[in-house]
Amino acid sequence: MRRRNLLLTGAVIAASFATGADAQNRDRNAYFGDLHVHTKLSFDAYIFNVRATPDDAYRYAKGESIHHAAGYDVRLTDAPLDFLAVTDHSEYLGVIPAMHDPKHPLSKVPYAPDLFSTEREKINAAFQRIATSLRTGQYLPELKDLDTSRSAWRTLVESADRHYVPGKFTTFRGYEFTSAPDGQNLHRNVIFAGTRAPALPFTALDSQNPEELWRWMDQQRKQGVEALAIPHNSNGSDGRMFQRTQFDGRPMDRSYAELRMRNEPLAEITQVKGTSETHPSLSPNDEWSAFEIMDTYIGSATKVTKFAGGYVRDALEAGLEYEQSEGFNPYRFGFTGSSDTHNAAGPFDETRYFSKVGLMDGKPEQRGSVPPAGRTWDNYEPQNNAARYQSWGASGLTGVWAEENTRESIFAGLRRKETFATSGPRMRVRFFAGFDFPAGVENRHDAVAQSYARAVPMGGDLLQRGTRAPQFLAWALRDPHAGWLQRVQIVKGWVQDGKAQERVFDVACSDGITPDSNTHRCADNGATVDLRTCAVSENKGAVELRALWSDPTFDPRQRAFYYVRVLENPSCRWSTWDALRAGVEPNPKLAKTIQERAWSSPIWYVPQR
Amino acid sequence: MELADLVRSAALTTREPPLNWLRAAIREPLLHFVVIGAVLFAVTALREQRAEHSEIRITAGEVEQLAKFWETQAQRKPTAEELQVLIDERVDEEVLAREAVRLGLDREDVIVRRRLAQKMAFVSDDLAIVAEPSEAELREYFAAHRESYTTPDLYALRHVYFNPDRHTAVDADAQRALRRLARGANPDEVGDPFMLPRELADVSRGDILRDFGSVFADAVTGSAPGTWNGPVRSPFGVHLVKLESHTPRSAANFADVRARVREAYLQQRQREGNAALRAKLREQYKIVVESAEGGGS
Repeated sequence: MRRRNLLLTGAVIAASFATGADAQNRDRNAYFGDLHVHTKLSFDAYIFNVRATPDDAYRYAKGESIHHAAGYDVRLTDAPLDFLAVTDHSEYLGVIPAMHDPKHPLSKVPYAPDLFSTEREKINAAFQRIATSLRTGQYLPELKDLDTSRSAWRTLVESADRHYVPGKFTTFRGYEFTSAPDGQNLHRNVIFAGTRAPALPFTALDSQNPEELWRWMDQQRKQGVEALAIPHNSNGSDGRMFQRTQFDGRPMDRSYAELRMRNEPLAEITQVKGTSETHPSLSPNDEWSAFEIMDTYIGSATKVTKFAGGYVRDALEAGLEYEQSEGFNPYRFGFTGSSDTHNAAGPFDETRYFSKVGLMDGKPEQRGSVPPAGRTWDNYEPQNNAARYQSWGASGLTGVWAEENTRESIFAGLRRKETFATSGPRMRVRFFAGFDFPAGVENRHDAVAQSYARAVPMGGDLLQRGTRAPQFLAWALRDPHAGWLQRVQIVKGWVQDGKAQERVFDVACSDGITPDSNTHRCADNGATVDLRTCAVSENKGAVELRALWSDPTFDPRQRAFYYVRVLENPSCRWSTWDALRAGVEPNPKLAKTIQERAWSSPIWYVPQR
Repeated sequence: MELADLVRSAALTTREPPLNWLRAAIREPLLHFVVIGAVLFAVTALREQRAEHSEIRITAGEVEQLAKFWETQAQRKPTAEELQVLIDERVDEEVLAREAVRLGLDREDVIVRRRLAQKMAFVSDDLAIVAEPSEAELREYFAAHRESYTTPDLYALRHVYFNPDRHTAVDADAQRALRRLARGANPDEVGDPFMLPRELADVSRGDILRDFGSVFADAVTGSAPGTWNGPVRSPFGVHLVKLESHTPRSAANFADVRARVREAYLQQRQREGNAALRAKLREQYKIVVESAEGGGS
């Protein structure tokens, strides 16, 4: 995702983890990390020929280079990450590698050799064999080996603990709960707060019902094991992730909403397999809604038919309606972004994308960005998998505002939803709402300290103050290694006559432009991309954008949420970079450019009854 | 033949004489046949000789496993007749597989070859994990890689930021501010608001590079402490910088980093073990790579 800045080309970052702990910063620092990473311990990654270990994943995050299954090395070029959680699939955890070990009894399963191939058709067949078990929630009895999973889980836990360097690099123990009833994706990542974790994860083969997972997490919490769950790829759930009933179809109630929000304060808004902010059919008045849309199920070519319930903005709106009519809200969550890499290495950079499923898509021809050898794009029809891979994106990261880079501080930031997500670049986003900002706060050196003292940050609730209208401080700073900023927007959702509404306001524009007071849009700043070279306009866009904004449509009695969306100038999509390097035309069916972006967690305005 | 023992000895003994019996084992099936006719003839002849001492044994455990897999599919236990069919199939499979190997049919098959290579790598890479290193070995490794365990130069600095979008003559404005700072102005009253901290303590050059780029990092690390300098450029705009202090790099105590040293040591030994085994196995072969016909470079 990140276009490297010419100023910094060649400025190799010497990752250093030997320095002492940073002091606490009361204004909080933005730490960037990936909370969704798979290694060879995941059944599918191993089948995809990935052999990278959890240790490799942490090394990659710290800036070292590691090996990719397709035969090359990968490395973060501009900066290491601040935190990482390896979250291997808990179902059949470690079982597939054991089947490959001739000395292990699992290797005697008759179809074991069929799982290990370097041919893509056979890899896919092997993957589907296990994926079918996850769609039905039924164990393949011959692969049920909890001792092997227990030992793999210990490997995960020990690796996370070994790589934790308080003050410099934070790791979390975690795993993925891989529930996909009928293929409808209900996956969650479970992230543990500290050094206490169960002997075995609760898996989708224990129950596909996420409510059972949350109840298990409640039980764990009673025993002092704190964790939170982060749902992902709601876009592949066919409307089920944020549906308006409980899992079994009964209506939602207060205890359901509380159970859910106690355990799921966050949702993953973006990752390689598409962005789940909103869909053009849900947000027809949002010109930026068609961003890295993946419209199929996870792991198959089945088309999604139901978008409501599959995107986070729609869910936040549903939550407001529940709050208004029922007095509880099952969908009051903040945002994270992650990669979901199965290579132990997130591809965050558009200019050097390597996708995410090992041998399946490690080369451009396999992911629809370069035509097959000797062919052009004329009459090109991607095979099932390539059709999915070409819709994937070089996303994403989680930003957390925290006092210091430690498990305690970052987990607390996640818990209070003081988070933002990005499509890969590391732009920083601040967002506060309040009634008592000092005059001209946006131009003060102590704007952040004033805001913490007198307003609420992203992820928080702002209670009604009579008929007064709140102010919103939205502030974005570019990634020093990526592009320039084009505009800062505030996305508002509210309830009117029992129905949720939404609107996007541009609140700060680059290049001296001010938002139009009727359309609430910035005029085009004229930033362009030269598709022959992927060079971008040199003098367009902003280093930072800042606004103290008041909602012109504010009604003190209306329940509402507000979140910030920051857009960079357009830049080449990874598929265009692939084509440019190969000396071919970009795939005419794909977007040639994208606008990298960041999303803050919402602030909820809460009227008092 | 216990392949694992074989590999263990190869991986862990670097000074023992070549593995003659390994060499024999690997080469034995490779030598014999030149022409298919000769092959068939030889095999037929050999089969008679081999008949007494070449045994196929299906263990009780294997029989049990066959029954269990059958049960998984059929949802009931196999009858005695069904089990006998399974066993016969298993025996046939073994006989055919052994004969295929005798005939060298495995050698032309890329799938079989790859699978065997994978299996070998899996076994050997697993076993190349070495014994717990001694304290002396760890200290030696630490001494040889002292650089990795050194705390780098650390800097404390202040800076003042100027956003070029907010100034028509940003350098001139920065120059003017520099003169004010030199006369003792309060840095909190100079420059534009900035989202990142304006004071940084205990940061390495790498930390500075990461957020501010190389021009800025050079300016900070190359300046004398105690005075305001600039204007200096970064990806964000223009800054005035003042180095407050510089703590030179310092080596770590072995005791403080022993756990990290051990991890790195074990990883290195594992890589070396894998490479040594491959090298050793290669020695058993004369390797000829023919260049492609008419191939230039």
